[in-house]
Amino acid sequence: MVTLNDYSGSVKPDWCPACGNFAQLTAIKNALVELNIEPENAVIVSGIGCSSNLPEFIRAYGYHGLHGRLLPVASAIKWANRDLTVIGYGGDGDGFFEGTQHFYHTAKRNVDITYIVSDNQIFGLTTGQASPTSEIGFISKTTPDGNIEKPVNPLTFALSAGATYVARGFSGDPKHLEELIRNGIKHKGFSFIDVFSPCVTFNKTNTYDYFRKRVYKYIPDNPEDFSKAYQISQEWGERIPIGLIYQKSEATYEDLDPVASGEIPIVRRPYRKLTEEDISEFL
Amino acid sequence: MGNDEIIFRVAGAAGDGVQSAGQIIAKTLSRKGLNVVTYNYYQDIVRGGQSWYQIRGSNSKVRSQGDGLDILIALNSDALERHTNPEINEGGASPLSGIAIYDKSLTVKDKRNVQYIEMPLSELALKHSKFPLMKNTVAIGAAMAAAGVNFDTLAGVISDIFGNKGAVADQNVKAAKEGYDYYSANYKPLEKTLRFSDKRKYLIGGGEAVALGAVRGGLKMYIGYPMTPASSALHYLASHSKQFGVFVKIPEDEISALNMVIGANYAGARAMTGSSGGGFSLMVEALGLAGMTEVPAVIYESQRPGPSTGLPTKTEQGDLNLVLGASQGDFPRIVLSPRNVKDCIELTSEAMNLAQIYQTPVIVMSDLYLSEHSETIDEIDLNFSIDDGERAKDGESDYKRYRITDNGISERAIPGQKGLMHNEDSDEHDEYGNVVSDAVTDPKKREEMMKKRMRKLETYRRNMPPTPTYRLEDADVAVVQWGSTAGVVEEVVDILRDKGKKIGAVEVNRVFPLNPDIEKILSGKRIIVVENNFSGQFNRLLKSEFGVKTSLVRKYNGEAFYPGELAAMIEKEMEVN
Repeated sequence: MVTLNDYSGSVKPDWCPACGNFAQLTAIKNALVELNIEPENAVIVSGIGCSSNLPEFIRAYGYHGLHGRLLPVASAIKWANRDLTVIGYGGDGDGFFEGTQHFYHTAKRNVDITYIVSDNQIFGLTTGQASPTSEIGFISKTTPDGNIEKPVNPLTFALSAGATYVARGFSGDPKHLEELIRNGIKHKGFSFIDVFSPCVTFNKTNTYDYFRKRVYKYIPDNPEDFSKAYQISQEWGERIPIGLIYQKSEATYEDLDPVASGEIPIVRRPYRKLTEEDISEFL
Repeated sequence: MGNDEIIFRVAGAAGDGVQSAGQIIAKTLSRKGLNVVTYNYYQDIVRGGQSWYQIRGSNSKVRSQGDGLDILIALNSDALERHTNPEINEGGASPLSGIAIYDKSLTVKDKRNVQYIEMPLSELALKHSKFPLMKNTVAIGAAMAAAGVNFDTLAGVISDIFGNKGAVADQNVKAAKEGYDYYSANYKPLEKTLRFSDKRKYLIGGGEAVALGAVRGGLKMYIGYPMTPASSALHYLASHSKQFGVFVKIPEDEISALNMVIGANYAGARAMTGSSGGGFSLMVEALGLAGMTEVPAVIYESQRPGPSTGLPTKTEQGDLNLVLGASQGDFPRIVLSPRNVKDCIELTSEAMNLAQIYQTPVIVMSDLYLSEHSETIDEIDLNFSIDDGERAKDGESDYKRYRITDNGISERAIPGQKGLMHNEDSDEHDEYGNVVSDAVTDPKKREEMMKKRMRKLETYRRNMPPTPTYRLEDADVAVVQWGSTAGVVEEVVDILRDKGKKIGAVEVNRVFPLNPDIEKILSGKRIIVVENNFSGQFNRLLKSEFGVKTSLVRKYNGEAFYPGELAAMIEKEMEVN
């Protein structure tokens, strides 16, 4: 049996005390333990931002890549080795600004990976600029008179792209978050979990209190009902839903690809030698 | 041009079937044991414009598209005028001096000193099919009769090419026969001394050769976004994906392509991407990621003239500065520059190993000229020894992914391996992969890690194979080239040797880092650098590396060098002191 201790990293997280990322780190570890996934078979791929430092703080295989580019790296890891559990982890700036095209296409491809976004509605590592999910009127270093650009809605974006598991969690409710992550990992296909993750240093608006007052746990009657999911995902303001929004079973990209779908993962297949037959077409 | 060689050119508009016709001729010649080089001149349109396809066949070794033109197949009146008129410059291509084969509906603008073979191509074609391009096949039949090639070989090629299209193959063979018989009944073959045999040669395009070389080098995943002239490799791999068991994917952009290649290699699967300069520009960021995290990556960069969209269907060697300078900071990179189709196979396989051994990006630089032309090869060495480099063993205690070593190379661990879990980081890191840049910046560790990474380049330099040379033994003058100009440079050396010049060539097919042996090779010689670009990017590299005095011969109008043209340029340069 895998224990929490197996996932204990040697590096202490460098996040600010009470940062929303702590709850997510714990939830990810707990979910992996609960699912009895060996640390050598778990890969955490991250982008750039405070949250993206996470792979260092967990004893698994970690790849801390570029801002916005974690999904292509994570997808190819999965295609190369289907036996691995691949988790993508990054922030809202990372995923919904520079990573937009990757997010859209990875969701559409239904690659069997889990993508968790620590959504704090601000750029933290670069010390407090408006992010793609900052609300209208939000004051930051780059929006001293208030943000005038509409925020991205990550849930509707994921839904319209074709993600097959769409959920929203809150770092202030770690048990619920862990369940969403666990089910996301179990889901065969692209699972997306947007997590409200208060930035205690730079975002004085979207605080723990702000969310505690507003969030409610949504449970869909029929997780496959796309219209309902789309409608729920647009709720904002006084009442904000968290929980599973949408889930549907669909073939994954690697199931459909004639090469990746083989029983033995690509990485373990022997090298193929060129033959006379191969080159005879050039004669 | 020797009497044992023959040059064909099929000319028309895009959509006229110029390229397919040219490929049938090329394959017929290679099946008759001739050495063949083809040249593809086309524009960035799907219909219209002017394009042509040249095929040079010979009993002697041919290494460029060559000078002279024996047989022109003109598919429209403009082509007939353009390729017979010595005043019209096609970028260095020779005007016709032999015979022009064309349909009688075309008009001859001004009579030139060539033989006009006006034929009822369309009428003969209509006997077998209503498909308008069938007249090309009639013309090919006539051209083969003019060259003295037996009909059966042509029929065999047509059957193979159209084999999966049912009746179409049969109709084409019949149409070709009409042309062949018509020509034979009314005209004499050209006076050539070509010796044909039934010893078939492999005829392979440069792009296909890169793909074959990659497969030979253990390729498991190819991820590329379409861009001329790198797409020929992508197409070949996509159509042979199941045969080779190679996963092929077109992602959303080239940024994703290289990041995916990094992900695949990180997971332990040999992966590669390919593009031209425009796509490579988008990969710049990820190139440094591979360098920093020491993940293997092979990138096929097939150059075309820039800047920006430039000349999408033309050739140039203008991306060397880009490739050498791409991405912030210093990190080791290896750049190979195949000289010909054979090199495309062998150096791409080599790149696949080098990336694994040195755990760093390796770029294979080709160009449109090489990627989109075909050459014959007598033999392909199918054997290649895969080297996965240094790998850690499961459960190794105190595993350090980036262990400081004398040769700079640390043992890799692949996800799934027990007990070797670690972090690979785009931030500067310590031997374990833990970041040294955030909480406490550690200048000493940074310095050690920088040195470790850069030592890999020194290790590689010590292990580089010797730089190839050509007829250099007693030479006073060394022509130094890199990449695809090797063939034409060798021919120029032969031309100038025949004129009594003591000249040879240095063929730099591993362009970065430069092999230290070049210094000795060049010692005491007059150096002339030949490049297909404006500023002499390689010339600058050579001078800065070895402190040598050079003169530079350039061409940057989008076309490749022709042997006669380049010989004249070099001779002129030799006169200047």
